[in-house]
Amino acid sequence: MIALDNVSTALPYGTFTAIMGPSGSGKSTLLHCASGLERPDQGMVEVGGRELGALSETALTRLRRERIGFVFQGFNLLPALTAEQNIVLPVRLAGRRATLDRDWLERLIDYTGLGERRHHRPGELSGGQQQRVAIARALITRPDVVFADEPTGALDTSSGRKVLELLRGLVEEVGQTVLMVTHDPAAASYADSVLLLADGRIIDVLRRPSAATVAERLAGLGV
Amino acid sequence: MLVSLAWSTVRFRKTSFTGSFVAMTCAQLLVMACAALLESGARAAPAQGGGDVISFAVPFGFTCLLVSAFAVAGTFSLSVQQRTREIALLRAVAATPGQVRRLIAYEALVVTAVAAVPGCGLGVLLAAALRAWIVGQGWVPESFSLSFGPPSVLGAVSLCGVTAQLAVWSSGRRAAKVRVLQALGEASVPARRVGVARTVLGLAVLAGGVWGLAALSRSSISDAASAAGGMVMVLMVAVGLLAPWVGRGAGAVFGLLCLLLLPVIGPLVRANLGVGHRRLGAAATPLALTVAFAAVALFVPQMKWHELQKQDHGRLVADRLVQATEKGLPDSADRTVRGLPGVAAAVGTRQAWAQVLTRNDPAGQGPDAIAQAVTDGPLNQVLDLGVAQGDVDRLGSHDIAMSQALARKVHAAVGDRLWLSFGDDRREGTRVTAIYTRDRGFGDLVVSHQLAAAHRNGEPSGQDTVYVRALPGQQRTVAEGLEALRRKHPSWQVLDRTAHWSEARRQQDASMAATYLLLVVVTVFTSISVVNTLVMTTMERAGEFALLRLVGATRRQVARMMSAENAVTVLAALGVGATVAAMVLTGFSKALTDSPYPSLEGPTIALILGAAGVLALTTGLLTTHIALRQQPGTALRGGE
Repeated sequence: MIALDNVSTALPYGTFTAIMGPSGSGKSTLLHCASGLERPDQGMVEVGGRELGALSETALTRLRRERIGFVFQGFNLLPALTAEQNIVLPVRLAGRRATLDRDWLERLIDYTGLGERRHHRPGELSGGQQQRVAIARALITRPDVVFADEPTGALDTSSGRKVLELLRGLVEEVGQTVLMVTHDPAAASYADSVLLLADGRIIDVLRRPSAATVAERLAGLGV
Repeated sequence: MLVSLAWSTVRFRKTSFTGSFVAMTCAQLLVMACAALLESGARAAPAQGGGDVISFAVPFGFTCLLVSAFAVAGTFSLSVQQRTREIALLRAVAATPGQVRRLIAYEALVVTAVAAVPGCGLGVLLAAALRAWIVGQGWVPESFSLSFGPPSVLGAVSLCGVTAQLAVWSSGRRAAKVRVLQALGEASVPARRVGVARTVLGLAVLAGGVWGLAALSRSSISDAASAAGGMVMVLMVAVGLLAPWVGRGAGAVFGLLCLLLLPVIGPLVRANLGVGHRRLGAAATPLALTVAFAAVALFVPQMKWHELQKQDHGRLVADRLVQATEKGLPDSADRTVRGLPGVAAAVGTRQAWAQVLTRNDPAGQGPDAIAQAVTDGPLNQVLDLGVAQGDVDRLGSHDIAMSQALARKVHAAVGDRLWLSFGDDRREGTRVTAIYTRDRGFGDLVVSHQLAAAHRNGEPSGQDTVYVRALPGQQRTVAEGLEALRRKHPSWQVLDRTAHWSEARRQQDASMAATYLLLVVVTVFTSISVVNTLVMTTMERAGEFALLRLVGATRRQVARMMSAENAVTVLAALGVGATVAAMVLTGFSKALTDSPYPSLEGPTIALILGAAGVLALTTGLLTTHIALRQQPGTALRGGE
């Protein structure tokens, strides 16, 4: 079975790209290949000018740690650590290879609005707050790209909107590159462009879409 | 960083690590007690029985360490399994496989360190209790006192630490190999594949165990007896490594049985056993270990005793035995007794050590053997040694009789010439005149009194026992004569056959006391880890039970499902434990009696099975209580 077939795309620095498509269209596989969590059988993936295919598991992990940030749909945080400890986890795991940029940490905490909750454990945070902690963690190493897999999938509408505004703001204010997989046309409307996937192929690219145009285009796919 | 992460994890997931903590505390407790006894034994003067204490503490501590390794490995592998998603997240975010492996190792280190305090504290108390007990048993004099310092504590803690690290090695490897995407995507689905390395290693250990058993069945009895316990451990390590396969096999067989026998919950139980085969294997292993270890520890001495008793009954044809309570009988004891009226024969024996030197090479070394030096006299009339070849009556001064076992070992036959050494530098050329079979509880060599006495450098050799046979119809006369002798020499003791046998029984029971103690400790230990494992696996499934009840299962049905699953675990454990025990006992039986069918005592079998049953029942009730304790709603929200 072929999950991704002949998909070639580049994500320019400082852009927010959304991937949409029916279930089983290869959205998640594309994200996982791009982030080095899965290796493609053929073809290549480059992040910040480095080819992922040639790297060992440990080297790949280090690359993920330094160059890539992750936000998942749910269960994003280690329950044993406080919000702040979760945020700095990638830097800590890098050990002597990285030093924590305190100012950046403060900016992130401030930016994600977690100031009061920084010493709370995930169990004491709401879903939206947890997701904001995950975003701050994804950014702590100033990665080349942030991958977000259905980041609003488990959230209510208003918490979801806050998370999306946060991602949008990052792209505009610090020039962060973001790639997001989503089901939700409203979420996709925050992106600069939307890649539409079906059966493992890119079938369309929408520039600066509104929720309505995305929904319409998706409806045309019979979803 | 990893250390502090490990520390937070252990602190946060207290319930998950309680099992490991309890197992580790017990390990530290026992090892600490043994270390304290060892150091005290090493410091004690020879007269205070330091050596005896050491020879008691070493195997004791060793067994405890091995058993604790099983318990710790089991609890840790469960705690890793419970945290699959968390570990996957770590891997996805930033941790290399090596870091995950180290994280698990540090967690084990944290648990070791935390458990060290109560473990060592209680261990010192246990050491004091053990000292009182062995003094009470009369193995060491009252003057033996506990004296130990930091080396014992450090030794015990580091030994437990190293054992724990070895035990969690495979958990760490598994954690490092967590498939990130699967684990994050779905709920905590246990990995379905069993590691190749683990399987290969398990099979290799199993093959080693089988090879060891084959060697055991050919070895001498004392070697076989001391190796039997080790063989159980080797085979159980193999079982532990192959536990997922054991679980899979048991799940398949019993799942089908449940499907056929239980109409409503059967399919559910079968599905649970199929998905949870790893859990089943992990839960069954400690119980199987208890069963196998208990069976071997109880049956090996019993089988030895049976064989010894059988041979002793066949061997003893004398009417009375004369022994001394203290220093032994004088050299002239047999002559004194022979001079009594009505005595047909009186033969004195004295135990000695001899080494059989290899025949073709007089300088070479050979096996050691217990030799009985016998005085002149018709040996046949007091002892029936079950002579297979030759004649044991009237040994010349350089004639020897040899047990069949020893003769096989040194490839000797009647008429052969052999060099013997009695521990000094003068070798003796001897001739084998008889080969006998009833050697248990007697010795592998019979030599003449003169021969052995020549190697005592002029010291009086004395006699251990004088065997007395009365003339037909003169029993009373002889008994009265011996009674008169006993009054004259207060340290002498006169036993008839019944008294001799009951004295032997008493000594056997006393020598079993240490075995029973060890068994109690091991059983308590493994019981803790059985309960631990089952409770942990049940708590892990709280959400599942809640869901079942929300979709309409009654409390009764959930309880019955649990009992069916527990019953399968227990049956699988009994099956595996009994198989391991049967393998070892068969090998031992071949070494002991040449027959592969061990003679086992019914009550002991019942005791082992009954104890395992009680343990299983208790755990079953406990786990069902846990499963049904929470309101379904609370449990589904993930409350603990």
